[in-house]
Amino acid sequence: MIFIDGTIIDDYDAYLHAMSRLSTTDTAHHPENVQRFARSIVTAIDRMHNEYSHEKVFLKLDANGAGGWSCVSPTENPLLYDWSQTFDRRVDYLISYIEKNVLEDHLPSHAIVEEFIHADIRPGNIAADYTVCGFVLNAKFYPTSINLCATDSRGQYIEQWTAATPEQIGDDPQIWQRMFSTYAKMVEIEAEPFSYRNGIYAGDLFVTSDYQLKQRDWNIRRGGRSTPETLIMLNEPNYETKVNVTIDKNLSSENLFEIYTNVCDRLSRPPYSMYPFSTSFCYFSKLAEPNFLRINILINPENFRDDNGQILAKEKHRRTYQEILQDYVVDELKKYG
Amino acid sequence: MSDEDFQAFGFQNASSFDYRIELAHRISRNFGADHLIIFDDVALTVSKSERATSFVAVQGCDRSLLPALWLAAGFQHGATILLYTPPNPIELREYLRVKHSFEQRLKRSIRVRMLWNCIDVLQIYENDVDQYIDLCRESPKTRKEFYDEFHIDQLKENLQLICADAQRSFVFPFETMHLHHRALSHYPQIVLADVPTVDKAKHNLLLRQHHFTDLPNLLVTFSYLLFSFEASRSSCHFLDDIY
Repeated sequence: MIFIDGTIIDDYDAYLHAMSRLSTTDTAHHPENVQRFARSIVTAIDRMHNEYSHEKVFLKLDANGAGGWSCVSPTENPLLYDWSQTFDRRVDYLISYIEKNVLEDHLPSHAIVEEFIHADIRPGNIAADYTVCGFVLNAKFYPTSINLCATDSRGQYIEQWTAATPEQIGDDPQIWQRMFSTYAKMVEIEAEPFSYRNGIYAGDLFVTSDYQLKQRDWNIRRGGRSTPETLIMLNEPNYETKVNVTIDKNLSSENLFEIYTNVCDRLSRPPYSMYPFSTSFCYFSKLAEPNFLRINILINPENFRDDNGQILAKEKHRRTYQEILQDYVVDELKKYG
Repeated sequence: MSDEDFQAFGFQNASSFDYRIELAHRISRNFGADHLIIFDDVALTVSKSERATSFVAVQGCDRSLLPALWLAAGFQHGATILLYTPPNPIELREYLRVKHSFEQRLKRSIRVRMLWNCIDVLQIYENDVDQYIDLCRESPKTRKEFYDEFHIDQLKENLQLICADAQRSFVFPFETMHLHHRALSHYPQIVLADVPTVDKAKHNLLLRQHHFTDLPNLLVTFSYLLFSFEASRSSCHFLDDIY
């Protein structure tokens, strides 16, 4: 169906029809097109709220985008979703958002306005936002892992828990079965129309508080969970995050490489026994001002205990490791006066 | 084991060591390949807008090492990783620890080559850690200038060396794209995975058409005007369509 506005659709045949009409002149990034796009999007946001009765909605500015500016979260952009504001005021907000964030010569061909999903809250105050991964061979899905992910207020992934078994992260095995089953069904449906019979498969879904699955994202690439999913083959769970430490002193690339190496060395030894990876960042600390160290780490949560000998609560991990890394960096910097 | 039984086993044991090794073998057989070539050409997936903010040092991102390890176990000639820079020596030390655990479990060695500037840097590390550290320290001067298609070009320019004695190599980039097929599919010794659909709207709408229900409700908004011959009908019937 194509709505009377002429730009909004909600079925597959209309989508195929629309994509067949795509032309680069129509999506050129100039003010007229930006205006029209912004007006259509706000119209769609209103439809989802008013006619489809979704209290909250979420805009993905580019249906093909991998994240970043494409996720226009209600937390960071409340005005856009504030129905007490006028249509025009919200359109103006979106226009300035597009101008600020979309640096390409062309606008996205299409955006998605979807119902805001209220994920179940798992122990440790983490939303039940899972990545499900596997491999498709001859149109059949073979699972490799499930990861529990957490995002910041913009919807960017900042950490994840990967476990060899659901019990290791306090999940019900049935939920994992349902997730894998859903993916197997999806892969089967998509194989022929999308000509996707052989390759990796990964996506993102929410589990709601009434145990519904909402498959919301497809990230069909190797991605950040392929490293943690290798280590679970040794039957241990792991927590993954990346820590950025700002370096206020002006040091050479060589010095920063030494600091990076020494910090990783300390982290990898007991008691933490962390696994540092994607360490090629060690050569590029000077690419931003102020300079920074970016260290990706994996740690078995069992290796970190609080003062009472308890495993650290989920919500405390990131800050804890940030502090540890920060301390180690400060120690290293002392060598440089 | 039949495909169905193997899949059912995977549902219950996705992280099991034996299951994954068998999966690696099946991947190899499926592609008719005896060698895996893997690289993280992440820059190809990062837009200009993102490059300015969260992905400022995209050439430093390489997470291909550990996945290459378990996949390599399924290929007769193992895996070759193509790198833009040598990994930090600490990462290699920890990597080898994991590799040895895997090999102990398998009771055989896993062949992994890590090629940087056509040198197997993993072998250098294994032979002489200090030499490896020197190589890392020198690498900012000796590495090539970065550009998005670096890894693909490295593969094309050094195909013989990379493929070595393998008959057919499955090339596994960060995200398989039409670009890879255009650049590589005419080489008979290379096989690629299918190109995935990245459009979230396309996935959602197709699945919905097939009565798949584990989906959020959504509307797709195009940035250009569509041919609206259905517009007058839709304005009367859209309420019927919802309920």
